[in-house]
Amino acid sequence: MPGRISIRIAVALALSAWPGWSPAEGLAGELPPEVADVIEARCLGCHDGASKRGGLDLSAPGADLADPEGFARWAKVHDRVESGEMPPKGKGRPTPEESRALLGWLDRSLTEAEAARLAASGSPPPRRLTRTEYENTVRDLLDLPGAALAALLPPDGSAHGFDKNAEALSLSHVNLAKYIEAADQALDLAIATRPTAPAVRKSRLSLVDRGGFDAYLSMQGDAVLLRDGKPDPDFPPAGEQKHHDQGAHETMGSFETGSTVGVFRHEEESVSHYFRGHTTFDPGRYRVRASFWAFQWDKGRVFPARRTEAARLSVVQLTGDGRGGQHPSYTLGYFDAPSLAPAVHEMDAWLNRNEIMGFDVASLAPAANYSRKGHAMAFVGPGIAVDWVEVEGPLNETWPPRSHKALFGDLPIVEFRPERNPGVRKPSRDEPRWLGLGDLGKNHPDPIKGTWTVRSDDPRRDADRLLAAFLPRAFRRPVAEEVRRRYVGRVERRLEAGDCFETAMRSAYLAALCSPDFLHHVEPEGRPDDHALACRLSYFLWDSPPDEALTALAASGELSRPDVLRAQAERLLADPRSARFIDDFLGQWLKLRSIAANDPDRKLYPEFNPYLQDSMVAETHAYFRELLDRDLDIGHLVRSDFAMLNEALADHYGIEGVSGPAIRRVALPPGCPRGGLLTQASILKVTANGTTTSPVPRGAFVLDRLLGRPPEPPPASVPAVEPDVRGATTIRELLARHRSDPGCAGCHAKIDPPGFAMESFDVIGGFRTRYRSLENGDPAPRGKIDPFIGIGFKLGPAVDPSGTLPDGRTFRDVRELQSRLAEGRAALLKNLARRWLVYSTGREPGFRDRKALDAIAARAENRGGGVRSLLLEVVQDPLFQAR
Amino acid sequence: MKTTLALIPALLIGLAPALAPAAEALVKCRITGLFQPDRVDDLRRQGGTLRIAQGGDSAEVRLVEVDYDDAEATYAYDPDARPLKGMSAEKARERIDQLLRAASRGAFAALPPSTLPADRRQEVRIGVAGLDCKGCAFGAYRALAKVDGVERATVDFKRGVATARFDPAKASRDALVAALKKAEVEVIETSPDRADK
Repeated sequence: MPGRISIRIAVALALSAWPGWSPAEGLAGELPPEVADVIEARCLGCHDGASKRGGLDLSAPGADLADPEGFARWAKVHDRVESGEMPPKGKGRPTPEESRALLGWLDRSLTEAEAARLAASGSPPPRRLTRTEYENTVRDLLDLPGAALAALLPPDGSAHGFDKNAEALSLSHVNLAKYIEAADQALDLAIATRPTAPAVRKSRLSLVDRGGFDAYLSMQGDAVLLRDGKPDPDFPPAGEQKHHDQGAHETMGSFETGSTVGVFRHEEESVSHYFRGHTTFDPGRYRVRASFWAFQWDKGRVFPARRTEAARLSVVQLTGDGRGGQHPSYTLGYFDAPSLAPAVHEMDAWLNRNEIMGFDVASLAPAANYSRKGHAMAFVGPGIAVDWVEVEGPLNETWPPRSHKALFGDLPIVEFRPERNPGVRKPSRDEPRWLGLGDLGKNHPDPIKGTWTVRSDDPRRDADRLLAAFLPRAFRRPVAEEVRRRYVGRVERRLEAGDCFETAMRSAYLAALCSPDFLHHVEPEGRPDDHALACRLSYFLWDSPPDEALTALAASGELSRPDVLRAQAERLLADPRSARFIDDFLGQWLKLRSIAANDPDRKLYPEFNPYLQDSMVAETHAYFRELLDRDLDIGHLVRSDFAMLNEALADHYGIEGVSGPAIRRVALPPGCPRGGLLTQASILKVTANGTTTSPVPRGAFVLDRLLGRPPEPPPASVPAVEPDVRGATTIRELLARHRSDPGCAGCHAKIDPPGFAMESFDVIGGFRTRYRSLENGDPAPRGKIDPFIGIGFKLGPAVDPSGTLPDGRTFRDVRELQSRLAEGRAALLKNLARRWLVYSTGREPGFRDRKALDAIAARAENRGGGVRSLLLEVVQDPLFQAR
Repeated sequence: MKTTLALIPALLIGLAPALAPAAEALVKCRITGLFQPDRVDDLRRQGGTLRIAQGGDSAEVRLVEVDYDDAEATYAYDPDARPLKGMSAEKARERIDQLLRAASRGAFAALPPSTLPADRRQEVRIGVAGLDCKGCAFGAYRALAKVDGVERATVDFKRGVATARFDPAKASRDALVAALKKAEVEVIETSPDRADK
């Protein structure tokens, strides 16, 4: 019996390899005979040293459970046997007793092996803040809600699907240098250097101005100037010859008449719509108002619009040369532009220095009149009119601002006079680099004479008092007096060296913001205390530090009470900050961060545009929010009778009756192939490459991200299946050839079926019954594609969305696949719970945690299987507090 | 027909000879940028009152008369005002020119009056097309005005006519047409408005 002997040796070797392991303490020496018998009888026929089917040799020594690969291999054996996948059909099935014996032994061995490994490796290192967490933490700590800091830091690594894992969050000298830079910038933003608030200015801005891009566009006919809803008689639409000599027009004041600007042309590589009249000097909160309407243009005449169009407002950071990035720094939102009736929209926005407002005709089809004979006077099509944008601010509720008070409390701000501060260096003040237009702009810096700084009459006592308030907030837990004294000592040394109070305190604050206590999730040894629990909860559901209420509960020791913890989780979910969780979690779990990783082929998918892409992400965010808010059943992950849509998506999905850019809940009509994550355009786009789809990545996405059963990585020697864009061969046909290789067939039998059903959707999530083609095929009907978009693609081979799941269940299309997947509620619940645990704890649940995960899923199921119920079960489970 | 647009009330009630108080000094300039009649209003708005400053002193210079047809304007000022005291007329014009250019973003300039005798002047009319607005007209005007020898030019974008008065020893119709074409202005060679004087 060489096989039996080998197995015994292998396990013995594996277990004895662990530090601290004694064979006398466990299974090593004594593999139960019934287990060895099962393996020999049921497994070695294919997985012996000669056959090694699937690369697995269960007879060979080397199944080292201390080795991660060996452990994973045996865990896979456990899972395959448990799921009934192994031994395969047609081979002798193990009896229930045999299965119990084998699984029971594997379960014990793997659990104990893992426990031993973890015990030997000691406590895991503390997790560093991700750069998103860092930015949010500084924003909340210093009340700088829009400070742009994340981009200053190096990107974080990722492990187990999330960037929150300690394994991926290294701390290099590069990180530290960047942390110093970011902290310095944050302190610059936070500290008030003037006795009174900067003057509040309200500037009404036109989209055209001297030297601006839209002035150029209006010269060419890609925009027109309007007055009282008609073409501006003083600047008629560009006609046969367009307008010549922009400088001459600027000198004549043609673009300073306050006219409305009707825009036809999209933002693109060579076109940017900027409101250059306001370039932010004082970072802070601003009130932004904008007036938009839509119209139909017909060769010089204005008519009612076909629909409410979508106007995009964005914020653009000007670069060093003052030109600004091509793409907006971020989008403020998409706003209604109703037909001929101006709609005024108002919002608050945080603007950083040298940020300006940007605009785009988001919902319009691409149009370019500059090269059209007759220019605007020959153009017929939709336009969006921009009456004005108003920027008012900076708005400070108090002065000094709250950011300053977080550092200096109520200490007075006084002018620094050298004669009154002998031997003290005045605080340094960098000359801010402002890229405003000077006289052409409508806002200007509001300078103040002199150097102003906080005054302390008792610096040492004030330093102690201020740091006593600041450090616990910064470090998210009580701070020992000894630690505080170190920071106070730093202030004292700086004061003795001749720094003024502000500079000395700043030095301590900078040190605190770059310290391990700030940069890491510091938790005590053993079970996390209530402060660590508060941090876990807030960084889970807000991606930012605990607020005062949560901190108070932690301090009182009440937070760990299940009812309190549950209530706090509910409160955090209801807070607007939970949008950070939705964005960050979905960005990683569902790969939404990769939504712009590729630009769809313009010939095959001419209807795609950035507005549709942003709408896709907004849909998935809103959908997940809806599941949480209404505690909808976990089956909604894969199947639903509603969707969260705006008009762009509704058109894309072929659903009637939705108007405007706002996302809202829409009941799906009978027979609609939409509903659930798998049919959302965002998911369908991130699982495609921009030109073609393949069932493989999409199927793998379903297995991994939704069902928690990631497929094996492809063998290195097997080339990827390349789709045929000519339309001669379908991907299904290509895959059929691929699967004829027995080495590929096993995995693809699991991966491909969900992907086959998802073939009903193209690379931008449009439903299809035939593949689009650039060469072979029939003329394509326009469908719901904007009539102003040219179509050059053809319809190629038919899509076959049917398939058979590995368990033999068949489906005809994606709707049937959705039903099949929704039947596996336990897998959906368990996977989402596991994802949340990885995301919230930075730790991948191990083999030994499987029972706890099963229990979480079971408890959530008993409560109705709702997504919110599941989340509440997760935060109350010991796994949430495990290290 | 020669049109004189007087800007002070005294002129409007028939006191033309008394353009300014006797104590005031007058400076006559050739104004560039007067390419269509409503530009007189622009000149009055942008250059009606200019302030010459020097050290801590300043003095006002007022536009008192505009002759659109000859593109000439007369400015008046107090010669005893400190910044202008003892200043020659030409020096005063130079200061006015600087201020007028600044006030009009370079759309107007105050140059020395023309010295070209009337019998040596030539005037042409050129048909133009594709000019939609005042800005376009100014662009075409600038193309004509910068041709060496041109002393006066107008552009009427509504009628599609440009005119130029120039020294034939320095400029020609062909040179003017070439300048317009270079500025991407479409020239109508067979325009019925074409009538060289």
